[in-house]
Amino acid sequence: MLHHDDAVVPHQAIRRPLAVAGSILIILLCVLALFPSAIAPYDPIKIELSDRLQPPGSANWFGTDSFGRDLFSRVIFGVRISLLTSVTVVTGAAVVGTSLGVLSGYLGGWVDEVLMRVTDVFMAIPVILLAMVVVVVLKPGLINTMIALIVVWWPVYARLMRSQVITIKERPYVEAAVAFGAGSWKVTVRHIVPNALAPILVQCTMDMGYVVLTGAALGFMGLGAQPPMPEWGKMISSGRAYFLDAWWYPVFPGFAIASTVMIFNLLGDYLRDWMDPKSRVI
Amino acid sequence: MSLHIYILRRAAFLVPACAGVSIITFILSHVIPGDPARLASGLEAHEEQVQALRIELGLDQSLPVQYGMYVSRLVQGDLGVSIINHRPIRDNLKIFFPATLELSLASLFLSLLVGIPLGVLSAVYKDAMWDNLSRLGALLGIAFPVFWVGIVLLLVFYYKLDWFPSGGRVDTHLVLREPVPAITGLLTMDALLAGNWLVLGSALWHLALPAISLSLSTLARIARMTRTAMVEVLNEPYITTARSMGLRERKVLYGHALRNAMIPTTTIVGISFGYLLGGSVLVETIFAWPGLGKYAFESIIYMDFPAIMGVTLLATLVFLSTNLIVDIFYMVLDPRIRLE
Repeated sequence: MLHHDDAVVPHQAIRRPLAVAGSILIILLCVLALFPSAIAPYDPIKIELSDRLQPPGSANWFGTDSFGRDLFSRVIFGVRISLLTSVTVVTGAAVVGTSLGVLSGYLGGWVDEVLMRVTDVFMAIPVILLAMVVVVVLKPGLINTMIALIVVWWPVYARLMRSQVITIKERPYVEAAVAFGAGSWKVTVRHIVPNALAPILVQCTMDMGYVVLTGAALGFMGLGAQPPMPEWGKMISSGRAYFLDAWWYPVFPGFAIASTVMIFNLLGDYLRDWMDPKSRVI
Repeated sequence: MSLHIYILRRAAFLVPACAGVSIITFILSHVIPGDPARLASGLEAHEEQVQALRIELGLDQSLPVQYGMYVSRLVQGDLGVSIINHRPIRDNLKIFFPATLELSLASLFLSLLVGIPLGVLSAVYKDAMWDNLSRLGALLGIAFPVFWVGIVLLLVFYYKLDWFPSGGRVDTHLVLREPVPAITGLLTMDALLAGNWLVLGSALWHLALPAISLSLSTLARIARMTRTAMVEVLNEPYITTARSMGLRERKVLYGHALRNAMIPTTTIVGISFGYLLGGSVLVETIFAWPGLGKYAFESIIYMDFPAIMGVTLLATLVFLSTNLIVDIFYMVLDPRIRLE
């Protein structure tokens, strides 16, 4: 049962134009991810050495790379990789993290202590370094990058869910449900979890952007999607070798990363205002 | 509880935290496929040699025993030997650590120097043009990847304008001519202490672009948090009281409001050090800054796993220590925490 204090109240969102804009941009991103060939004029992988390192112009809006491939097309095809990574990682981390968080928060005792210590340890290692180490162990690649990022990100959700559960556990309506004879499982699933979800969803949206950033950093280090896949971080890394002669090569993928992060951040900000006004960043 | 007991308790937590991290690194280093003894001996070595090395490295023992050996080596400061050049990792870390420390501290200093005033101004002129611009700026500062920022800064300020150098820590000929004694390991500090103005100037000039790149996202976070905290504090009754008692606005802002707004900002500073350490891997590579980050990046290229583990362990230790310092500072700032 959704209790009105904790649950989502949708009607306010429609009034905010920027939130609507943010949602439209997200939909645009999804369209680019699903149908890149509709927008991208060229094949992102086909090598055309006669066109290498061409500056931006009417034929190639973002210029070409060292293999003569159209950078604009590669950037568009890169949306798919970034979006897939962030959706997979955030979903994976949220599922793993919130499950453990619910257990920890509800059961308390030594289960809680152990989980807290484990999350402490994971969160003591700087994000990029831990992700880097896991990918090196598993060998570079897109899927291993996603696994590494899930390993890095789950503690945030565990902690968040745990603190939500601990707070909601004490609420009168939960006590009421228990007094009426609801079993632990029923109480958890039907009463605690739905009301705990608001901050989790906000965190998910913000994290989508941050996962793209971290994934790009791993890509820059050569640990992410392997060539010829058009991963933005790797493109910046490859472009770095030519940046004095072909500034467009590393610069445009960077704009793609920033735009994606900003879109998710915008949406996350408004989601937070809508769902969880108590934690507003004014 | 008293400050001393709190500090002791928190410092004591460092031990199990490091133990936990060492378990993770131990597990990870044993998941790598391949036989370390065979790799170290070389492909042409005889089986008896490899077996002897295996016994010597303790690889024939059970995992808990191996972990015990690993920890005892760690405690003595033995982080293993580089796969590439067979030198102890610890020596490499000692050489590169001061450079990274200098870069991180410089970035943090910049972030605070620019971020806090920006946040204060944003809060004071809330919803004005200035506020909206700086909020947008903060969003941009977080959204652009740090390695991209470094490349763009190089493009503009080195290549196009020639105002700053492209990399390295200092003009080597200056240091060769008049060497600076290494007291702190931070070249800027050491040059200042030695009164060597040429080296100081050169070091600062080289430090500028990398520090700016690394500081941007932390700056944005600090500005944002300062703004939020200031806005909340400025709405508090005691601020109205102070104003109505005739206190000058500057005293109200900086004497009362900012001091209270600094409390949540301090938390951000602690968290940000983790991003600074991670980001230094990227920034140092771009600017050829001879620190741990560049060392880590190169170790990845050569798959020198002991080196990567060594850097991660050291970075974790530094991160935990800085968080401890920040927490202590937090307690000093906010007496209410002490009473809990």
